[in-house]
Amino acid sequence: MLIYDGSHCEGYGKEGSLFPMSREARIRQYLLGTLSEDERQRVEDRYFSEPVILEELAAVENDLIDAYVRRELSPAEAKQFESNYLSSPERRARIEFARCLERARPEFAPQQRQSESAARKFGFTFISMRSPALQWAAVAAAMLVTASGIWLIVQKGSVRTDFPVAHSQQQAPPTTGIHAGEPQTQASTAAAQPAAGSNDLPKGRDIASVSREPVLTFTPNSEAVRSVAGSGNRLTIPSKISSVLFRVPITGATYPTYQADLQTVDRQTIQTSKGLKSRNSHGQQVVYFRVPSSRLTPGDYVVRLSGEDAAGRLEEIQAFSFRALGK
Amino acid sequence: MLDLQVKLVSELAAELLPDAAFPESAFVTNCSSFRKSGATSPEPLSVLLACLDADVGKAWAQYELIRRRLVKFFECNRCWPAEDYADEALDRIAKRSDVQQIRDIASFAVGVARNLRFEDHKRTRRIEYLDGSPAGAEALADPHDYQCDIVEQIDEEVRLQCLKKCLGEMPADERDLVLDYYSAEGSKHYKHRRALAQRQGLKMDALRVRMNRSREKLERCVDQCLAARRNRLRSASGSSAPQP
Repeated sequence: MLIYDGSHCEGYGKEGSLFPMSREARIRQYLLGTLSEDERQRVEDRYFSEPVILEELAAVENDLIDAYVRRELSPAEAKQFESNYLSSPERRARIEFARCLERARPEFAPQQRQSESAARKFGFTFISMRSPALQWAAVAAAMLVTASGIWLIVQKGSVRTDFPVAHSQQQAPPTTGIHAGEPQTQASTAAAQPAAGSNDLPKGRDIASVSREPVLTFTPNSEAVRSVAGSGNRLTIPSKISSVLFRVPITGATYPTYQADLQTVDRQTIQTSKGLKSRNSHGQQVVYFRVPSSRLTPGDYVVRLSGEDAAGRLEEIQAFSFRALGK
Repeated sequence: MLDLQVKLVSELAAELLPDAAFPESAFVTNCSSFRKSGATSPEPLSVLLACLDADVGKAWAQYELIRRRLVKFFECNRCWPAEDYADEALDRIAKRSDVQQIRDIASFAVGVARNLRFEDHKRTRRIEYLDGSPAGAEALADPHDYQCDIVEQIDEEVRLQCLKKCLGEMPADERDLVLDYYSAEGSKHYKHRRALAQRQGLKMDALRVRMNRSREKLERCVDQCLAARRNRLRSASGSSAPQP
């Protein structure tokens, strides 16, 4: 079967249909991994021999990723997509890009072109009016529209002015709050959109509700590790923050899993987080663990991070102290 | 038993017939440009480039195009990192003693890629996955740990800032076109893009190529922005100098 034979493709060769649907569908199946081995080979042979097919492949892939992000895929397709696309950092990054493109679009919407087009249409209609009464009515309407427009622009301007303030209350930019000799903190109300892969979240776990909680990330200063409690790491917890996400960079050997113990300075354990895995974050291995802010009453604390080897033995690899401050 | 036989046969095929996947038509002519150069022991890459085109610039363009296809192949066949596999495939082709006999290197490359994929899948089959991992307090971390999800969402915020910066740096016309092109949802996008192509005075495939390039450019810009931010964070955590 010649899957890309133009004569078999619906709409092939017609004006404006240089992207035949049957071919697009086949490429889509290839990307979702649902073609037979024989069909896969045919697709691969084609994109190795014809640059135009490679371009189509790239375009279909972009659309597929966008469709996933917009939740337009059927449940079966979404599952196939996830099994093919969530397993590699490169592809996950492309999904993240698509998600961000969706979120950024409203801010950069091509309004100018639309308004120009509308203005052209309006102007043409106005000129074509032959009755003076109609022309005056149109002038009045135009003035009303202009006044409304100015009012809207003013309103929009005030919203834009207000936005950074509202934004900073809930979600400071991640680069802020970095000071030498101070730990890095960043507040974040995690995005309203669930993370990729949330379609197959375990039952009973509502990531959306969890992720809307205001969270404060806290990276202890490495120079303050093992220092006297409170001398280097100060953690100010705003009242609206529900939990603190500790971010501990790992130096030296890595372990399959880690355990983090949060203790008071007199070694009373407040929380133990087991089975933590390190993650690659900005080029370094980092262990994250979360502590509800209700457990961090003002005072001095010590965090002990231990690596757990394959035999289950724990070895303390890092300890740091910090002073929690209320606000 | 049957699985074992299948495995043995496929492994033998790969070991005894490494070029079994190559079309015979791939081997026909010589690389005349290379022969004209008169080099006796050139670097394998130089030989490969000479086989692609006598003009160095065109040869590199072809090389990049083949590499791009290879990356896509390995991505679609779940061989990670796909770029490393693509480079390995090109190295293997370049190091072949008969590289000058290959008429169509792109067609030949897909055969090399299939062999590499086969080798990779053979290796990964040997990895054992434990289904019966311990539960309770001894359980491994949940792959959908909400802490990780929160971290990912924070990363997304950073990525979004980078994207906005990159979009802001784009020429307004190009930015509007990209955002318009990718704005239509579901089944509407075909009509929307056809209308967009007509407005731009372009054919659909030309518009598609242009949008692919613009999106790639944006993705690269975002990657560079994230890398720059990583470097800033590294230098901030590695030095005690005050940060701006």
